[in-house]
Amino acid sequence: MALESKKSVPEPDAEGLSACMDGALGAAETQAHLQSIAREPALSECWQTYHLIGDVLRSSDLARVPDDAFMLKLRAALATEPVVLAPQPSMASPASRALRRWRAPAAAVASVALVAGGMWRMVATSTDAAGAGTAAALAVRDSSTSLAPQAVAPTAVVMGAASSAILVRDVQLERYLSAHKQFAGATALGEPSGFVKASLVEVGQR
Amino acid sequence: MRGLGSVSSAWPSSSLPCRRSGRARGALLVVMAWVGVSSSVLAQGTATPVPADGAKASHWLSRLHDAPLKESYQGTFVMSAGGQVASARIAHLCEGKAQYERIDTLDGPVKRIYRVNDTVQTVWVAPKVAVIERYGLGLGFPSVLNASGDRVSEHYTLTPLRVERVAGYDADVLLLKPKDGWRFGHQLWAERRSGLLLRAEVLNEAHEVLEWSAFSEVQIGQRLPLDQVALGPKGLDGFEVRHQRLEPTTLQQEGWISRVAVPGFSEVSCVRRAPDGVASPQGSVGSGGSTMVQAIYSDGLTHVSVFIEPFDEARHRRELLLTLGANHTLMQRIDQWWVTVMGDVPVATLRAFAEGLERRR
Repeated sequence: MALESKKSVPEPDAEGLSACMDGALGAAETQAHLQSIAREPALSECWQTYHLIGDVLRSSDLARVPDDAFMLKLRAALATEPVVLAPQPSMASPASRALRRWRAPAAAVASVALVAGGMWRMVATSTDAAGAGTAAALAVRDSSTSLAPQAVAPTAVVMGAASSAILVRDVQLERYLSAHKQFAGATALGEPSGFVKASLVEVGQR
Repeated sequence: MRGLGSVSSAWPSSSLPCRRSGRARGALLVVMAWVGVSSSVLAQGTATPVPADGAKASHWLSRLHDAPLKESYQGTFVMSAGGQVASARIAHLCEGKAQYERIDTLDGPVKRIYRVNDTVQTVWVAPKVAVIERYGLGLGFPSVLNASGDRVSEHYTLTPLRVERVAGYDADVLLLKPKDGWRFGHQLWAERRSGLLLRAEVLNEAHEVLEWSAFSEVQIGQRLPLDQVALGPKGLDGFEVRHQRLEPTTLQQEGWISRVAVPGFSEVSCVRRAPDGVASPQGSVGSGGSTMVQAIYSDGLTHVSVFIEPFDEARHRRELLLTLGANHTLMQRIDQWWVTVMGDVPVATLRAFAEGLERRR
């Protein structure tokens, strides 16, 4: 985004937004960010997504995509409003800047793991890779969105090479699991243990 | 008992930055991990291993199975799978032949489960929704269990290992080692007097723990008043109440032939689920508006579900293999159908189930 930003204020970007959300920016930087959010649909979407991530972390019931038409109207209305903000003192030391550098990608990963899910470990994804049940073949795929039609579509699953598997929770899978555990009474251990597990597994996946 | 009362949402509603919540989650995991470690540190081994025959296996398994039918208890249950931990408060009450159970999840959104025998009410407090369903439909209790002791000893070797202390009680440690590669091993801790299952581990062939569940504390014999364990007649006032619909069917009736050749597993039930057939506040499996068939196979100790639904391009993209603790899930397309095979079994077992499935011409 080519913005004619003033010299001392860095160009607003996704990383900056994350810091802005955390209250880690100075007043001028925060103002610049908020103004550019109002101007730039891409940044505004990013801002919204970050908040959604935070919301979903607190409760999966908040995992709803806002209605587009409504958001557009709201955005237009907000654009005419002055930005009211109580900025906190800047804590942006070089160290925290360095921290922030990894925080932005971490947020992206969190959105995948928590918006789409938490605990499902994708071990392998294609027919050939899935053999033998070993965790050797690990692949990142794009179809996680298709599995979670009601969840907010995570745009892309990008993981560092170091990560050994992606964690993707899926509302659909959770329900298969729940349906499966319902029949734990088919085993000698009896219903209660499977029954408890079914409810715990759902809870565990966040 | 206040502990069973309302549990407020685990996450504060203020606008915490997400990474801070992440840190809180980490802390929870550490605490829970500590609970796990401390319980095994407390454990003390004494008895000598005694090999068991089929009759012994039946004896131990029926003790495990019958304990909740006879004993009331309440406690905190912790489960760990795939590096995640979740816990719940459980109150179990036996009143004559009837069984009541209340489970309050302690992590995530507030959810309460009330069970009266095989009828289960799941109550989500935030989107005031309650789902009422019947569990274990079509299982033909208790015949499955009468046969399961023998079946278990055919495919597992049961060895009582020693006595250990778990959640404040002495427990017999039982190792169930699979005789072949089609299933996982189990290590079970049964309370000495009542036989109540206090701790369970699922083990892979290298004897590594894939997942475990345990009471971190439990009071066996503690009876709560009924009104604290069951929902009163007005308990669901103001809630949207949904009934789950399950119809007994057979694979053959649904146009399928299963040529599954996994030793020890036999079909114990088959149901058709209506489009809104699985409890959830948001919706259901098969929300494409089509019904789904679920066949359930058991080897006496663990079970495998085979779900069959019409293929839907929008929702079903590619073959998938997922792992969660001991639970594995295989999803794949068979002609115009989407098949999901799931169970606490090795992947090869799931594949065998999927490959054994054939559409009748």
